[in-house]
Amino acid sequence: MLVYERNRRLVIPFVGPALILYLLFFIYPAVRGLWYSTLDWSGFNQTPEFIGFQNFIELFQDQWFWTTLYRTVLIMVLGGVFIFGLSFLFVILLNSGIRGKSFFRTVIFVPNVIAPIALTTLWGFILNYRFGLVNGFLTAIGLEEFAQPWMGPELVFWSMLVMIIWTYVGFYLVILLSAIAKIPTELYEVAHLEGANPLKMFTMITIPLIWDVLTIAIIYWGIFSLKLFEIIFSFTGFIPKSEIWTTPVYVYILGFGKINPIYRLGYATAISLVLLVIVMIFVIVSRFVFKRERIEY
Amino acid sequence: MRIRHSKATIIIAYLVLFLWCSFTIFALFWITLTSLKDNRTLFQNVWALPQEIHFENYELIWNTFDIKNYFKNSMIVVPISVFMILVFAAPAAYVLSRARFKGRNILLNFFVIGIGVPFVVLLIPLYFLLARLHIIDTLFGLSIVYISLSLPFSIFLLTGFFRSFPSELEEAAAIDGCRPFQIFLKIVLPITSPGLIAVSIFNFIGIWNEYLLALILTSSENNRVLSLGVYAIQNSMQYSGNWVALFAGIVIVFLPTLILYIFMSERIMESLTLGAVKG
Amino acid sequence: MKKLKLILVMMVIAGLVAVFSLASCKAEEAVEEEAVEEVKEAVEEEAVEEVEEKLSGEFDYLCYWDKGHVNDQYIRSIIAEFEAETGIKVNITNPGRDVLNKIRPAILEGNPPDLFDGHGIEMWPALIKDELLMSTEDLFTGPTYDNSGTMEDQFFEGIDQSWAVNGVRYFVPYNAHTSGIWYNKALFQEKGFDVPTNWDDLITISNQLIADGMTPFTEDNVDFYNAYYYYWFSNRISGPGVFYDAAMDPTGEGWDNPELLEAAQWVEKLAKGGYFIDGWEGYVWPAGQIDFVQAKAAMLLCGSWVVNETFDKVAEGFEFGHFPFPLVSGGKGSLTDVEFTTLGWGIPGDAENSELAKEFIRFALQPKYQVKWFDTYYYPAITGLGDQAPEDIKDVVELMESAESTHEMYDGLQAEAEWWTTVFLPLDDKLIFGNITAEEFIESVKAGTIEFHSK
Repeated sequence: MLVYERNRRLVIPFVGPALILYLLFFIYPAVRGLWYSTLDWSGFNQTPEFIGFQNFIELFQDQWFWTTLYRTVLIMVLGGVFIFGLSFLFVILLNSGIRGKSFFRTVIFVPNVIAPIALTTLWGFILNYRFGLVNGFLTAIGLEEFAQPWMGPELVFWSMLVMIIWTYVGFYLVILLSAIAKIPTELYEVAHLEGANPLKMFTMITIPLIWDVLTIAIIYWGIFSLKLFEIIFSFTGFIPKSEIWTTPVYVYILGFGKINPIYRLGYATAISLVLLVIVMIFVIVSRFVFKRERIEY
Repeated sequence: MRIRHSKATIIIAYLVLFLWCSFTIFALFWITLTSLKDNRTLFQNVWALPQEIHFENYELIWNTFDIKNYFKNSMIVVPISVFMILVFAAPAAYVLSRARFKGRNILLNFFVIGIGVPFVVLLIPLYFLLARLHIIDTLFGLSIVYISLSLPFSIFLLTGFFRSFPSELEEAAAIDGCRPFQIFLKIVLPITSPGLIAVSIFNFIGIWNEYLLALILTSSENNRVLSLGVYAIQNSMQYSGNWVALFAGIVIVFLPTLILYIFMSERIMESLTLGAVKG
Repeated sequence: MKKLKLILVMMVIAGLVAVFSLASCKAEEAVEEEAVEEVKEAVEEEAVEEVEEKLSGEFDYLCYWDKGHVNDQYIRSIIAEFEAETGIKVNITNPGRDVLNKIRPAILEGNPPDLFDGHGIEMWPALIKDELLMSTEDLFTGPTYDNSGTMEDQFFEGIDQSWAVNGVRYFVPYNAHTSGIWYNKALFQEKGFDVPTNWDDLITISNQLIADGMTPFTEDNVDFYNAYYYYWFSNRISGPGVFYDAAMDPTGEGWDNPELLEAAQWVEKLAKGGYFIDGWEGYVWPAGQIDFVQAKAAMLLCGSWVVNETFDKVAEGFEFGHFPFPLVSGGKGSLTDVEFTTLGWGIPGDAENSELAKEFIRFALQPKYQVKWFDTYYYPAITGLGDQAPEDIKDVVELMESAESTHEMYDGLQAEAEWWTTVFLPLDDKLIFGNITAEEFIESVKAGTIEFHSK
């Protein structure tokens, strides 16, 4: 802790520049942008109509708003569980004394480096009913009757969830790996000598010591998944099918859609505002729930 | 976890990892091989090896679709933005994570709120703002926007890294008579370099692939970035069905980030584990 | 402590104030500069006008086609010849599909381009409906570029009137499309099938195909392509306009019309009768088209752009054939009521160089350029070029030229985008996959329509 007197004068030169940029190019446009939520406006003409809270009243009764919100949260929760679960699994596997650890880690991370459009095109081909890999593989091993229309209305959302998990596991794996690598191995050796089993070591040593990083990762995933857009929007080709609409996708279609020229900028912004509030609540609640004493070692 | 695991665990580990990774590697290969086919053969057998190599897809993308210029623009905007993000975010994160002053948490949370704002809301107001400042349709304007919009997350992440090293080092340096800025530059930054690198990589990937803002905030040919190029190819492809060209464009776009990541990841892990040994 | 915060806040405010005053200073400067420029220009212009009446200058064109796309190359080649012949310079940029998103802030800022293009159906709710574009009546009622006739007479029947508001035209089409049933010509000839003109015949043909182990129909599973079926059935049974009126009727009573139910029943019959290729509900575009040109199914109901998208992927010996969506016995539709959907130009209402843009439009609509659309299997907007059409699309052009009346694709409902996207398309998908019955479909659409209009 920088405790000496002069630290207060550091605030302005150190934080000031970032604050100015942030206020000017982020907060100011955001506030203006959110002002649109009180308007009935297509964004094209000069005469937006002020309608106060009507957009908000409408969205609470909008069946699509609730459906898409439900899906968005579902992706966050289910996706989060599987992503973090798989990440921890891979951490364990990678730390179990194998060689080529960095190779595996790099490959698992690779999908994060590729543009979402490439990933969705790839998966579109893999899941294709007629010539896709999955059905081709099932047929080849004689399980033809399990070949499904993976992109059909019933399964498309789950297929997409699988793709999302596969893509982002690597990201959180890298974060967790680097956090766990910092734990001195002596701690584990001592615990092992004292007879602790792997589960106990995990909960009593690993988790507490990476708590800072773990909570940041979880919060980041929460925010990221609630805002996730590109990878979902392009999943079923150039128009997202209604079965995979999430809140950000719905907002985009309402305000900016091509081919579906709805152009309701005010209403779209109102929904974004609600989403923003949800994200903020999530962040605040998480930070509160996850608060613990920092452990310095 | 240096404890000896049983042979069985090791075998299972290899198995699972191989399965997972071979799928990913296969995917990469398939994308690349498809970019070398032509459309007819692609749809005759989607998963076969190409019989003939069609480099003209790359030629088409590089020249007709003018990818080479977009590539150049991305190579200007992205590294500079990423570097400048550090310039702005690192000092802020340092102070916000380690100094004690009233309103520190408020200020920090004020930045963190920004993470949740969906970009769609910002598109039109940003357009007007940049237009009024006369930096609309310039790479400079685009970069400033990228930097500003990345500050919340970068500061958030960096505060995590900055919090966790012992303060004795700074105190010792202060006693030695170093001024705060020197302490920051010569001691704090080197120690937290894994965090800086990690944040930079995330920012690089995010900005490299970003296209929504670039779409609205730039318009002339000369200012287009690479992600816009891929987006444009994808749009064209909808109307002409030129899948193989799309894949060529995709390869051109992901290759630099892939190489960068492969190159950098070793360094990150090295510095991270080095930090661990020091304890 | 407090003092520090105060200083910090003041600095921030000072910073903001500084930036803004700088910006507005510059803006003021710019305005002043502009004013001076304008005076200069006005003086010059007067001088020039005295000398000659010829059009000159330059204008900005925002193009719907992405740079490098064949249509973009086509337009640029016209631009090159235009510049050479008239000396007017065209500043073209390619925002691609996002032209409208680009134009939106430009118009608000008072700095719109002079010319842009796109799908009429997308431009309608954005700009045309609110009359934010410049009227092109003078262009339509005026002469063609070579003075050989009146502009409006050249077009396919009625398409110049598409997107007119209160009788005033704003949109100038340069490219027309229609939709209908593409069929595997070689297969039909081999089987001795005649091109059907009503659905009873088509059902017979389809049943024969099924009996021979083949698949009648395939589709790409794009939600609005799927909607072709319902829309066309309602058109053939009740004639154009009924579907649209029912959708836009806030009381929902339009849906009580038995003709609309009959249309749904036809779709249900196809869905449950095994007429579609297996597994197609899991298709992603362009899987259906590819099926079709690789002869895995005999027919594809789609827009006339299909050839453009698939000609380089066809199987050996495949031939494109096209016939209009057949009539339904006892229905009010007519084969000469041809669907048209158009791509074309618009000029923003406060564009500065609209005269130059109009001149360009006149130039580009000359037959010698319009016919070049055939090179990429697209279709011109003007009639009379049918004999120059390539074999693969001759059927379509013949159909277009035979039109005695027209209606817009989907009865114009795609332009009512919110109803179309949130009420109709999801239900239509359920209907065509056989997941709900025709009665349930009508009930749900009616309920959805009422709810939609009550917002």
